[in-house]
Amino acid sequence: MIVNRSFMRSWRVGLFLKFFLSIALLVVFTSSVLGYFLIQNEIARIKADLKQRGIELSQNLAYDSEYGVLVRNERILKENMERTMMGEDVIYTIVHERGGSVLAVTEGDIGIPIPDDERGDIEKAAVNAEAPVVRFYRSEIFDEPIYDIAAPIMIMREERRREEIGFPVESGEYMEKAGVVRVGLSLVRMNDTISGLVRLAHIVTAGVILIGIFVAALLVGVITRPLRTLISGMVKVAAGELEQVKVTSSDEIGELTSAFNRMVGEIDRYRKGAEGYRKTLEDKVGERTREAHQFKTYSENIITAMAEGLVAVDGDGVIEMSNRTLEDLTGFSEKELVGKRFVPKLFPGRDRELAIDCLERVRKEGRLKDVDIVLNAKGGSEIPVNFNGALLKGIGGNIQGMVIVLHDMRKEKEAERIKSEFISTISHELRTPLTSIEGFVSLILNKKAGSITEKQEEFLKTVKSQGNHLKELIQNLLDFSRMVTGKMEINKKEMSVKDVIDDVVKAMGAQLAQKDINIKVKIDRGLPEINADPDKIGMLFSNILGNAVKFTGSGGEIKVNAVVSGEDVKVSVADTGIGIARENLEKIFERFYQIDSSLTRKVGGAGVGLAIAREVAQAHGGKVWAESGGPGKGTTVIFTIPVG
Amino acid sequence: MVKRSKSIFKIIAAVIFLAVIFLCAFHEGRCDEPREKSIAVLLSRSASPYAMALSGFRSALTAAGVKYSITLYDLEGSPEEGHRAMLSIKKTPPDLVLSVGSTATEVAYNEGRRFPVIFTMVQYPEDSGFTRGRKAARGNFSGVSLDVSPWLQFETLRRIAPWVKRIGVLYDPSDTSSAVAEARAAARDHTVELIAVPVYSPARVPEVLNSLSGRIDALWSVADSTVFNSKSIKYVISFALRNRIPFIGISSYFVREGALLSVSPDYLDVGRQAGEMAAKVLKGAPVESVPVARPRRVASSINLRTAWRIGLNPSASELSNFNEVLK
Repeated sequence: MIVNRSFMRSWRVGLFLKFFLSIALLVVFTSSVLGYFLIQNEIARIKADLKQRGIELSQNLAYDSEYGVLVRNERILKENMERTMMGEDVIYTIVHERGGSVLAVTEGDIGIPIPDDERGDIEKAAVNAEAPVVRFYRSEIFDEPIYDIAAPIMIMREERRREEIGFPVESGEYMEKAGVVRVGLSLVRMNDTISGLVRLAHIVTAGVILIGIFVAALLVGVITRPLRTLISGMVKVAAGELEQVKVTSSDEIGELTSAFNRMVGEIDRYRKGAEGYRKTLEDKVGERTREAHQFKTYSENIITAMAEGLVAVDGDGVIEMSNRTLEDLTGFSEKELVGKRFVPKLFPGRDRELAIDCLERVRKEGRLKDVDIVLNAKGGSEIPVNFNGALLKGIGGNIQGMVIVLHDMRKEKEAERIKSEFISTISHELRTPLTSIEGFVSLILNKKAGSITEKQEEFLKTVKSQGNHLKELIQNLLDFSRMVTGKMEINKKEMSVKDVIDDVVKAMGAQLAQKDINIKVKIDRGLPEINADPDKIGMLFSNILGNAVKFTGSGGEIKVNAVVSGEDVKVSVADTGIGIARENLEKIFERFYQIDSSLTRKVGGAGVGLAIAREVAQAHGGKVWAESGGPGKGTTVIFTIPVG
Repeated sequence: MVKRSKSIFKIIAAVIFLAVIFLCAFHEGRCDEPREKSIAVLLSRSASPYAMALSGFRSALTAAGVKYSITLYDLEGSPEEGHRAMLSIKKTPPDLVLSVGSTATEVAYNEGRRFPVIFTMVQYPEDSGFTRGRKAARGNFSGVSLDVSPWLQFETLRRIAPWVKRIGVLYDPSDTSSAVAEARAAARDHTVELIAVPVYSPARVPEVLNSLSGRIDALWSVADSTVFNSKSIKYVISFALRNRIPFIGISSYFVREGALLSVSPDYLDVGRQAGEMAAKVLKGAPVESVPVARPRRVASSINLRTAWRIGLNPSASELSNFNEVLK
């Protein structure tokens, strides 16, 4: 409050002084300038009046002297000159004839007080005057300022005929300068008048200034008083005291005060409202914070409880978060994972490129599912996992990163391995007695054990046929088992695809003949040899062709075509069989997949033939896929094997 | 064949004779019609009295049954303009030249005497040499002057101021000596002494006039261009008023300015007189046989205020003799 009071004091003095000094200066300046110009104007007017009066006097005298000059009569001239001398301020009159000689002079008490050295010039200028001329000079003796005013005497020359004397005519006259009159006017009286006027003007101006200053002081006091009150109120408001100011006038300041009071009222209302809003906002923020905390805890619990390893990476592939399962899976602590790059940290080994590819696919496609990949846990041990990834996008659609779920596949892989080993064992154990059974059935059919009846022979052939089928089935299971367990060895060498195709077609000749299937083989003449395992390629082609024979009805047709396609050899097997629906074209390459149809059940099989074919092709860097026009429209299975 | 040709010759001769007779008869008939006379009018300037005189001239010609056409030349007071007008007149010679005013008359006298010339509105033509005498024309030159008889002026004065015995007058002998001489004779008739004081320069007018102060009972004016100009008229009038003497002005203009009275010509009638003289000349009379005339009608004016100021109190019967009484 002490500060406020001193501020108010300084403001009051400052504003009052500023206003007062401004108005006072304005009053002084305006009054002085106005007074000066009025005086100057009045002096100029008085001088001009005197000059004009002198000119009129001289012109009147010149007019009256016309006849006197014409007749060179001094008496006539002096009659008029004496009359002129009676005028105020006139101190002398002189009449010159045209040549300059003086015709008549009248003078007052002080004579003609023209200084001798100026007399000649003034007289010369006067005599030469063609119009009224005013010359100023100062008498040396009497120290008297004087106007010497000269006016030419113009005579109307008449060339009038005798008869025209009797009546006026409109023309026949011209003006001729016959002389000059000079009238001397004393400026003493005029100067006295001017001096008096100047004194009066000074007094009046001083009075006006004093009154102006007094009024200015009153005015400033009246104006600033309500302003001071208002400022006091404003200072209180600035200090937080929302007090209304008393309105003491109805002028602009009164309006300002009223507006200020309304503003104070509004501020007070807003302040109260703002406090309410703030409390509500705090409550809401607290509530949202609690909710967010709960959600976070909930999310963390879910993430922690997940059976899969979860890792979140940013757009550059740097790990931002991981869950406990991933830490358990990899052996890395959260601290060791967060801030590290995802691929180098978890996939430094053989699947590094695949991991990079997976991340790129997630980035491009938005999500990626079920990619088997091997990560390297802490210490370098390999862990097979199933990779699932999704892109994290912000509200505006900008990429914030990726979330990757890694499912530990070790148990599945182990179960599969056990299953395969079991199948291998069983198959091996089954094939041994089957070989014995086949051998003994062949001996009986070859009648090595004596003759048999036709009925017996027919039954034995059925036994042998089913035995062969069972043997084939077991062989497939064994192959598949080897592949699953990683025991399938690929022994590449230069080989002819044509030879393989010919051998397999020939081996299946009996089945083709039995189903009366017409097979057409077309092999490109320039088909090169490829670097591959002949047995495995034979197995691949045998499975595909066998599958075609199985699902092609009697009288059907199978076309085998082998061509060079880029860097690969491409072999297609097209049948006129049952066909495959579009959605099942990929599924037929899954293990143990069987199309659910009566024909499938009839032809039997383990459902691993095409799975083996895909494994073999991929093991050689090739591909296998199927194409079909749909059910009943046949199927074409195509595989490619790189030449190199 | 010869007979036939002789008869044809006779017929042709008869036709020619008849044609000549017819043409002569027709020609005689045409000659009986009065021919329109062409008159060149030289006007000194376009002043109102001159216009009145010209109007009277026209009316007189019409009254005399003269068919005429007038070509008017306004000299605007300039002899040079008169010279140009005479050059034009000489190209198409008129039947008569009328000069109105002294400037025009002087131009006509100097350059147009081979034409019949009638002048008018001229003061003292004798003094200017336009005439041989007061009444005698000079060759092809005659006309009407503006000279009002001094006798008539003195008579008019004496009717209201019979006590006047000495009448003063200022004159330039080179200008108005004949007028003064006539005035002397008129004064004698009225048993009045005319004190004529010669003035040779306008500058001398006040001095000479002052010398007459106390010596004269009245002041008479003669149309002398040395004595009178627009300024001196007022001075002379002032002199008369100061000395309380009657002043006979040249015209009513002087009376309006303060002169007591004036006897001046009737300008319209002066024009008529000239027209009548012109009609005679146009009808064949030689100009020389037409005597110079003076105005036959005059108009008298009196300024009653001036009369009172100088001590005159004219009776109503006396005032009735004046054409114009200014109060």
